[in-house]
Amino acid sequence: MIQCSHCGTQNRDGSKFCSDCGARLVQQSGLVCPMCGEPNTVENVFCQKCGARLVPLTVAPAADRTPPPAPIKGLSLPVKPAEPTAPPVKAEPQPIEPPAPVAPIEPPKPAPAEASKSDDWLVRLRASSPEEDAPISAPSPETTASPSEESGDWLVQLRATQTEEQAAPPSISPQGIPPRPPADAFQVDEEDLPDWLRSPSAPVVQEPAPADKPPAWAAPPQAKAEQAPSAPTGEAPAWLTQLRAEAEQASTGQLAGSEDEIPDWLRDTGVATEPQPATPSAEEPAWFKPAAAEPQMSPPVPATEAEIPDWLMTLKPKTEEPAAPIAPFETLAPVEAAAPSQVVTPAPIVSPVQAAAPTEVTTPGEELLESLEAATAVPQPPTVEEPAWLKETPRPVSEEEDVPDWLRTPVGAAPVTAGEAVAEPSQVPDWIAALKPAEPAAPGIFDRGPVEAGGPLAGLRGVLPLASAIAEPHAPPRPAPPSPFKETASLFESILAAPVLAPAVPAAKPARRQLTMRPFIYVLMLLAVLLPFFVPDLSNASVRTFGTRAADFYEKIQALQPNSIVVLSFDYDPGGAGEMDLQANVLVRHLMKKGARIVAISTMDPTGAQIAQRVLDDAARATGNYTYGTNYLNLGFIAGQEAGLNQLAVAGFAPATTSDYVRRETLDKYPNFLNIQNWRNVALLIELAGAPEPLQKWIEQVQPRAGVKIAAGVSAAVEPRALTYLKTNQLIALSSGFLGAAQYEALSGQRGLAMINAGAQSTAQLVLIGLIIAGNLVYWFSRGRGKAK
Amino acid sequence: MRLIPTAIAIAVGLVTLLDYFYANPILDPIGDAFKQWTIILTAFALILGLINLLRVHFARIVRRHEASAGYSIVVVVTAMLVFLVGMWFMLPSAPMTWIFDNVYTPLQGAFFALVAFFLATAAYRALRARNFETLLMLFAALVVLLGQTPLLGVLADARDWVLNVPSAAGVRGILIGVALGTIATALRFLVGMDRPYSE
Repeated sequence: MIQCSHCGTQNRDGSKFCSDCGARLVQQSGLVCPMCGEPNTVENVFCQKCGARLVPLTVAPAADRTPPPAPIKGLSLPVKPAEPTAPPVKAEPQPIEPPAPVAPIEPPKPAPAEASKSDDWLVRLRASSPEEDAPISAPSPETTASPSEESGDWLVQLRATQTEEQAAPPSISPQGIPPRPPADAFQVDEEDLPDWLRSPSAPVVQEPAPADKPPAWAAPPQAKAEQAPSAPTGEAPAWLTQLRAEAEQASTGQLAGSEDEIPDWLRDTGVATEPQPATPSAEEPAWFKPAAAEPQMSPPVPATEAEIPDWLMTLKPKTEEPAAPIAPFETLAPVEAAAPSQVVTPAPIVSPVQAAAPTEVTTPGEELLESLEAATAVPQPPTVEEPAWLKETPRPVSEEEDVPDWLRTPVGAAPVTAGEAVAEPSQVPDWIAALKPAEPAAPGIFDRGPVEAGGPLAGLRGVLPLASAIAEPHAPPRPAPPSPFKETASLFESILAAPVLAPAVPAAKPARRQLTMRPFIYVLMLLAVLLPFFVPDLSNASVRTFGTRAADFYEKIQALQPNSIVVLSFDYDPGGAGEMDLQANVLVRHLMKKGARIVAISTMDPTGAQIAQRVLDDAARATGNYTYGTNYLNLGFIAGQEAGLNQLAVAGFAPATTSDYVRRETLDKYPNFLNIQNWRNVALLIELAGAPEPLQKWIEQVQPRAGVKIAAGVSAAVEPRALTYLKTNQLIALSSGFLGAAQYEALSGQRGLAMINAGAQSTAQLVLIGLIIAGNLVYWFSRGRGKAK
Repeated sequence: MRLIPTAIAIAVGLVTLLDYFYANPILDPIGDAFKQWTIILTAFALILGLINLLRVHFARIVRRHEASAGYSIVVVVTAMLVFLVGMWFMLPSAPMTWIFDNVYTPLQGAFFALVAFFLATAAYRALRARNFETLLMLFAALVVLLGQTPLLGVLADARDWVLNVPSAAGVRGILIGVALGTIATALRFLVGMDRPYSE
């Protein structure tokens, strides 16, 4: 995706214009020229359209920075310091131009070989002065020694033009400055030059050349060849020879040039000519007038200082040590034969501020140096009017600048300096006074400090408060609360310090009796259920059958005609099958014994159909003469609850749509059960209900509308509900629970599970009765004992 | 916006009610159709129940911090297994019959059998004659238990009397109250006072 540099919209790869704003897109992270907006590839350093610089210049670290080359006379730029310094503030009320020249100082241009890293204006400047600028842009020793291919093209052209201009000896100004080319030789307009370069040049100073030892570049050709082994052998190039000739002329003090040959820009400055008092003109600023009247000789260079960087040394005039090598100016016109005392050094073009030298012998370099020193010096008390709050603020002592406040002010000592303003107690708010640290009563650190061993302070203790303060623990003192808060704080502290008392929890009632009784009850119940299976007399208990509801039920079944259709609804789940299967088995077997056609359905739970099939199959196998589809049929689950039963009561079993549970065939496939669609053909409906709801639904939905006789075999829990329907003749018969099944077995002469389980049920119920009695006895006994207590 | 569902509910309820009490050649087929719809919707309720069961237990499985996550895994796996077997073999196939007779029925019977132990503990701890009412209930329970114990063969008539007279009276009162409440609820639905279908 390509992100639009204008609106930030993400565009597809390969897009040339932004899909949102229509701006031209730069392919693959290109560089957009900030001047003309031309997209450039990332390799471009300069814009391919307008030549503007695309990659910002970076200043190498001080360690890696090579010594800056000498500024080229007339064209070289003042060396920009690594760290910008504040502009000097002159105390004298002289008209000072804004310190603009300091800020736009370009970094040093090391060599023409690095022309690609130069600014565009410099490149254009170089390109525009191929011929005329030869003496000015003399190559540096490195450039001279290096092969020509390492130099820039502009330098090659420059050398070539130097050869062409050998016929015309260059003129030298009276001060020894190589003449500037004519102004019209520059193709660069004034507006292309930076401001500082467009302004009048600084006065050219004349430095004495080293007296005893010539510089390296002034050595004979042999020595120079030794210094530059990589230089091409043979004679020096023509342009170098020409420069040497110029130097010779300069050494003789003869002015090779006349007034006419001096360029206008140099003539305007008034420093290119003899040091005559310049005629004040209206165009000249006031600050420039004294500078023009100054002698052009710069003061001696002071001794080298470690604090002064190299670049600054190049700006500082070397007047005190004339014999010192003028390294920064090695690239100037290599005057071999020049007299050491008459070596003319070009003055770098400085800013108007630098040029605005006072009447003292301060050169622009000195001014800049002084300004830098002033900026980096220890701050002095400002002369301007300070605000009141600033005056009251204690100023740190210079030696303690790096010491934090807590170290500078020892605990307990709190010396008050002379300049420190002490607030009056009345001026301090109460809330601040409350936060004031309490002064310890312990002796100060001066009383416990080390003893001076010698010197005028010998014998004194604690004269080094700083060292003592370091050794002193510096735990901040706890603020002493005022008295009203102190009482509250002490009260709160006492509350917090008080042990937390657990709330009074009532003692848990002893549950040991219940916990120990529960397993005992379980074991007792288990033994009661299992005992009849090991004691035959308990399982052979007789069941009273006379006058029971089971007897009535048995009579109703016994009264059925053979081939009567009896519908059995298995409305119980496997959970109640243990109790309900006993009644279902005995009823189904009795019906089979009577030769009834049995139709099984389920209306409460889908599992009832499977239970019905199991019960019917077991009974059929026990009977031996009953087959599925002929003598009994399972129609499966009838969904719909009340609606299903109501629909069943109204429409009956539709032969075309009703299918059986086992074979999935419609009812018309079973001719023995075709007449089941009419409830009048159903002799009896037996509801086997493990819960009261299905029985209630059968009574409410089917019995009134179908008019079918309903008998119910229910669980013991349903018996109270079923009895209500029995008393109202909504049920013609009712049998319930284990006891009803056992009674029915006894009546039908079948000894099944119901009678076998009757013994277990009797023992289990006896255990229940015993537990109820025991529980009440314990309760009454414990209650009476509690009352006694 | 609730007018339409309310009107539909009232209309359907009135038609079904009239169809229940009167035999009419116009209302009968409409009433039968409504009942058929109810039967189908009730059948779908079983499917919805299965889906809800799986959703609840899936949520418990996702929240593993719950202690019942393991049981939920068993429930989900078992339900899906039985569902797939039933859809593939249908009822009453041999695999489904085996699962029903050997897994489902024994588990349900065993769970139901535990009621005997719970009742025993409750009989010891709860059936306390703390006041006159509880004393009466305790007395009735003892009579019914003794009357239906085949081994003793006593108090059978007393048991039948308790069940036929006081117990049946109480049950009838409950049934009549439920019937009145059902009529009142049905009327509220029919007149649109209660609209649980539009919630």
